[in-house]
Amino acid sequence: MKFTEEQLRLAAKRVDERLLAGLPDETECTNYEFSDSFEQKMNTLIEQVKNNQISPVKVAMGWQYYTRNGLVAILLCFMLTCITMPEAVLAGYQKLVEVIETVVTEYTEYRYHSKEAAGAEFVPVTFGWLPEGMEEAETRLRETSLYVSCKSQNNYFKLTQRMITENKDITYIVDTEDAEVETRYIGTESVELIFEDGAYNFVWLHETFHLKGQSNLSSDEIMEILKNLKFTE
Amino acid sequence: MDKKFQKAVATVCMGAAVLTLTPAVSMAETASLSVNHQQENVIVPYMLYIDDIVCGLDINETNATVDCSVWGQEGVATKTKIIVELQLKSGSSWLPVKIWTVTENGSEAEVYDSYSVKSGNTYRVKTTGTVWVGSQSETQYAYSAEKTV
Repeated sequence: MKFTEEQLRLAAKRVDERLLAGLPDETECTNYEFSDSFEQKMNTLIEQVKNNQISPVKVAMGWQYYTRNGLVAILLCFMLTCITMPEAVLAGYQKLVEVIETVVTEYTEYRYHSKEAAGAEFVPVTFGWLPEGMEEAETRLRETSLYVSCKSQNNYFKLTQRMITENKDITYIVDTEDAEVETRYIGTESVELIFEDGAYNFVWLHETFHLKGQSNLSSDEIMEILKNLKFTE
Repeated sequence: MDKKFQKAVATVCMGAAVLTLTPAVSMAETASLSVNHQQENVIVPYMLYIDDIVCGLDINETNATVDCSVWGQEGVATKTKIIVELQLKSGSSWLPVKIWTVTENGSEAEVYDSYSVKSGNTYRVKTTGTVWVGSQSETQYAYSAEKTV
């Protein structure tokens, strides 16, 4: 039978009261003489008890108690994380492309490597949205890459899409010196927007695709174009 | 507050602090395994006119496809040149086995081509990009990862 801490504490208190109740009243023990040193010790103890200077000894509950409670706390926290940040949990399982980022003063280098099978079909993106007046001007489609250039009267938007597989690695160097770098998100994926001299360079790793481009549109418009890209036929 | 409740709250808070670090690491594995910050006293070419360079190598046992590009700023760059070198590892040296050179007026130059390779060898690609703005120019280099076929 297991006792809770509260039950043990109450039981100990009752036993203590019974034992004390079984003792004669101190006024009845008038003929008993204690030694001076004993009297002094007892008076000191009585004084400490009256002033609440003596506290009960804390009992160690044992490793089983703390282990069980610790595991329960971790489980609760994990469930809390799953509920509040499901994207973070899912991100842990998404390891399609490995990226090594090296930042130097003048530029940032990204090295991409994937374990995705080389035989995967390359599906070129199509635009779901472009700013008013902007149209596709040039397209170059290769076996595993796409280049698209879009223009309007005063603006341009260029995009390349490359597929990263176990056979195809990509090194990408982009000028970040004296540039304003902003990170935005499409779902859980980050898009780096690098602004310098009136234009943006952007880079986005979507699943096994490396997308990068250049545009003098606003960052909001660039993000709107990227969010509306279609990756399926 | 009851002591038991205080202990429970403290345990939950500590567990939450530990667990919130784990998703951050998980997310990092998706985006970036490591970030290296090179020392600023290393002398490297500037990226004044060059916006970006892509150096891609797609290789299997018989064929290597290079997919490389150099971009300067649209409307500013007047000429762009790219030299792509497919290199074979020989001891500790790298020997060029095929070189492509493309020069374009404007802000972009690219090379997309294939070359026959032999299995058992290690290859990489070196991309040299040069962008002109008028008479001024800038050159930058990028290397692909080494691939053994």
